Amino acid sequence: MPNSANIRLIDPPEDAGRTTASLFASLASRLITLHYTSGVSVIGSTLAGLAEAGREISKTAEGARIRRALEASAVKDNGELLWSALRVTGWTEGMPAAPVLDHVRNDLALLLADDLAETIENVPAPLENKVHHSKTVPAAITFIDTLMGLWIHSREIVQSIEALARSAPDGNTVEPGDAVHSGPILR
Amino acid sequence: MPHDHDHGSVPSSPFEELMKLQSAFQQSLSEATMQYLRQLQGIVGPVTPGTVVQQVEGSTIELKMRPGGQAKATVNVENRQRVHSMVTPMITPLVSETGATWFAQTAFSPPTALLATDEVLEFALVLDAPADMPVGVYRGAVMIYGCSDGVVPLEVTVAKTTRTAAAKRKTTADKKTPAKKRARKTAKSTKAS
Repeated sequence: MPNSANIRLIDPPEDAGRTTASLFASLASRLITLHYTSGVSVIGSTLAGLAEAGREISKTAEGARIRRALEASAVKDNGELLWSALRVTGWTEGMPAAPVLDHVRNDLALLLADDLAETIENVPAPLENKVHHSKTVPAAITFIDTLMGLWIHSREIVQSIEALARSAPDGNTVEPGDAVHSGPILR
Repeated sequence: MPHDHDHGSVPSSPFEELMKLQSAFQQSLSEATMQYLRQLQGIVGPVTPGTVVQQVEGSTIELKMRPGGQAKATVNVENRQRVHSMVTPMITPLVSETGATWFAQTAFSPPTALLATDEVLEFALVLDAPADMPVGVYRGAVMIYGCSDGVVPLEVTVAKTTRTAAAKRKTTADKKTPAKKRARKTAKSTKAS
């Protein structure tokens, strides 16, 4: 019975690959876009991105357990009440979802790039804009999806920074505490 | 008579009714326009490079365990990208043939890791089955959270414990030696000592 598997992480075949130049260009594009967009769009896209991340993490066993626990608490009712009173679903309707997790991961990779200085020196051409074929009508941004997205997004940031700390040369390493909270309480 | 649609009252004049209809139309039009513009904004946007999981052909995980038991597996992840990648393996809920869903208690070690270019890392998966777990074959997948496409199929067979050879020998010995005889034998040996 095979109890091990092998997988590879690769670049999407029809997309820009992850290189120092493309990651830098992507970060620069995000910052430049801020000049041509409104605060509502930025917050709305971020909320949409968090909600999408929340929907995705809810498909995993761990995410589903956390979601069930949240849904069983008063948090869900109060959150949805606030969501409804502030008409969040209304003003965020149709907002494109920002890939918030990819942003964290790409920015982290930039911090570890060996060739960052020379890449910045020879400023790369901005990446071409991408046409999103499949997500013309984004899903509604619900409170519980956004809450789940905030959970996984913040955990990703904590784990990323801890991973950076671990990547320090031997002798300078400070072992961070385990950030994964698990136990029978949410089982 | 005051006019209020919401409270079911009668309009005071046709002109007032027309104005209300017109303002409602303008409001709907502006909302629809905003939604359209947002969708348009979503169609074209800056590229954010991502990561795809490529499953090595034939890679699958099959585990066998008993209720209350534990099973272990490993997932080897290789980073073929030109920059560092964060890897957070997770499993999906496992579903049996009868439709029962198991939100398995799992732990990956390490839970997350930063992989440099061409680095390969082994993630150990420990799966715990509850003691009252119904037997059956549960299917799901191991996925790398935040990466698109590939998953590794995961099949867990939960079966009752088959008696071990030692347990069988003990049972046979118990049958051959009645309880009273065993008790006498034990008493003798205690006296002798």
